[in-house]
Amino acid sequence: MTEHNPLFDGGADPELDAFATMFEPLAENPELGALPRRAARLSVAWMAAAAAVLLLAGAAVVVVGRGGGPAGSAASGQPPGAGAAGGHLGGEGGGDGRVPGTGPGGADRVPEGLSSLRTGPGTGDEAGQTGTARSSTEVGSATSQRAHQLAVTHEGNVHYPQMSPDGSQIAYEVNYPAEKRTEVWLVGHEGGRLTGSPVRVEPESMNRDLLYRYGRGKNITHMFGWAPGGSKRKYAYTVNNAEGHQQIYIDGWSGFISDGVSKEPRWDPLSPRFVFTSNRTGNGDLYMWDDGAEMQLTFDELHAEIYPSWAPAGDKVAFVRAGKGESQVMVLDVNAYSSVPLVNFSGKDSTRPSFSPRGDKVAFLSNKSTDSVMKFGLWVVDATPGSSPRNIGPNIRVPSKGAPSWTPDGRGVIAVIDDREKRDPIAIFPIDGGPPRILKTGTVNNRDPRLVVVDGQWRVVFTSQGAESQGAKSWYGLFVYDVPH
Amino acid sequence: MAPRRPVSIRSSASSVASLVGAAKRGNESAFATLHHRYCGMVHATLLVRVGVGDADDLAQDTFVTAWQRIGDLRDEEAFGGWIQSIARRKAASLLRSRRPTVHLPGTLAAPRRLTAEATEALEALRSLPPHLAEPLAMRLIKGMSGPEIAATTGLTHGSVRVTLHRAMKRLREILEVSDDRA
Repeated sequence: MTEHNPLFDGGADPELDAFATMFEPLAENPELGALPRRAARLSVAWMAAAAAVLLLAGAAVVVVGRGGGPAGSAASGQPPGAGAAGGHLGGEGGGDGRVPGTGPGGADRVPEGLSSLRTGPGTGDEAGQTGTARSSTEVGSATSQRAHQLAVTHEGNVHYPQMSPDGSQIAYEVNYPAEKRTEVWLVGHEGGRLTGSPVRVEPESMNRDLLYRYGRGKNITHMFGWAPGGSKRKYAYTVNNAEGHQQIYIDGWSGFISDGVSKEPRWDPLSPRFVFTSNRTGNGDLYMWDDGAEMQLTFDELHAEIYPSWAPAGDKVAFVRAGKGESQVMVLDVNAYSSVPLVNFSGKDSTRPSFSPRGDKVAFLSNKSTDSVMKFGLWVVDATPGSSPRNIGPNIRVPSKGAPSWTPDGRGVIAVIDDREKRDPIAIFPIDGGPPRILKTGTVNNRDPRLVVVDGQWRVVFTSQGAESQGAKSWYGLFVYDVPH
Repeated sequence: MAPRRPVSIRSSASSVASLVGAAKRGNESAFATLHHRYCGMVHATLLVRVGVGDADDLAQDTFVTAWQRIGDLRDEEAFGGWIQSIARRKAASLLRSRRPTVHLPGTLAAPRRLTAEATEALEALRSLPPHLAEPLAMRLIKGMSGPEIAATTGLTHGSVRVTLHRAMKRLREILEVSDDRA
């Protein structure tokens, strides 16, 4: 055994401590001064090529249905994930304590290398199989005054609906509380109606057997993100594996992003690249995936960088820098590789930033002015460092994934009011103040609203436990609501 | 016990190569992390050569030069040795430009006031050969452990261990002689 040597190993020693005391005025290192500007080497030439493609361009909506089962706890509002840094990466999956979700025998298995999309059974003919999508019966009309639901039924709760950029598909997550697992599904859509049966999204390169084995029976796919229209790759999503790692799979790409917990793919709205979060270096940092190449964007060793959200011009990314006791909203210039604080509420959590359609403002949630650290208000700040944030709504339900959604005109932010008595209504909050406009959807326990434009019509895609008269015993389903204006 | 500056050399931290690679692409955040990791080593390297005020200035100059020329660094893992050589050249250049001026202990920069005892100890450190003085300054002034010195300079653990031992022995001898004279 080697004898402890304080001179080499460090640690307390009277003689060395005396020197340390003596040299204390020299111990502090000089600060790094301003660096001279250098040209960024990232090619951004192709960014202009897709300039006409706007995020969530004209989309219509579909609703995924309800079964008879109770809503799971996972659906009742997830924690915002804005607390201590240690919990930011790795915890967000399809649910807690997931149990095996194996289907009945080999019928549910996909040979290796088969398509990345699994077609759902449509009619529920795989008896006993969980995660199946049943009928495609439409309930209600896309033009009705109230929200309507299209009954593509899952025996689980639907979350986090996202319309494809061309409006032809909707991606959504289904959480099965009994089995504590989550899947991503896609369903076709046209003119407010479903087209075809839903299909399950799974890794193309991973045998379903392996998926279960690696996931210890936990079939966890989640955090889906659409690529911009016209891209070679259509989407990316996150898969959990056995070691507790999360990997990102990309449509049509044989590889996948591994190394620790890598998740939250968020595509540049104008270019076929995305940022994602990973803890591969011991903490959460932001990385860029650009057609197979990966590069690290943030290098903060004291905080976790999470919840990235692109500016519409593809030049900036808002994100959350989370540390112990507080989380702040930052903005990263992806061409200059520099990030600056946008919101700095000391000792408070600010999270889920979202750029406005013109890129001049950022909406976010914060517990700065609420009476509990678990309650969040809605805030807006100019996307210029040093601007003063404005609180435009109290007590907001934190979305299961993602961030608050802007109205297409950039004048309002849509969010769910956390109000049990009023059954969590959806409202549009004007950014210049004034009372929120409550949307009369006729539904209860609403979640994850996103506002898209379909032929000039503002249409809200969201999840809910159904009509007011039906109570709250249904699965969360997918709904749409056309905003009168 | 005197406070020690935290030195961030973690096995789980971003690799030097990835930081250098990102810095080459213009990532200021990555370069700031490199500065955080290597500034103690660079500053100590300068402190055993020039006055305290000059060491502060040259440390900044060193990192500015490194930022401007990092594209020339082929072996990205060798960043520590590379930036230390920049610092040594900066110090040598400054000393050449000031000849025949003799460095006086009293020229220590005002913001970092040292006691007479510390000034004497620093002069004793400077009287050591640079290859002994540098790692010992990192240990005594910056509070870096042997493994941290090895990680930032590129020296082996064995080399650092032996060098620290020899340097400390020489420093004690010099200071004891000084005490005897006093």
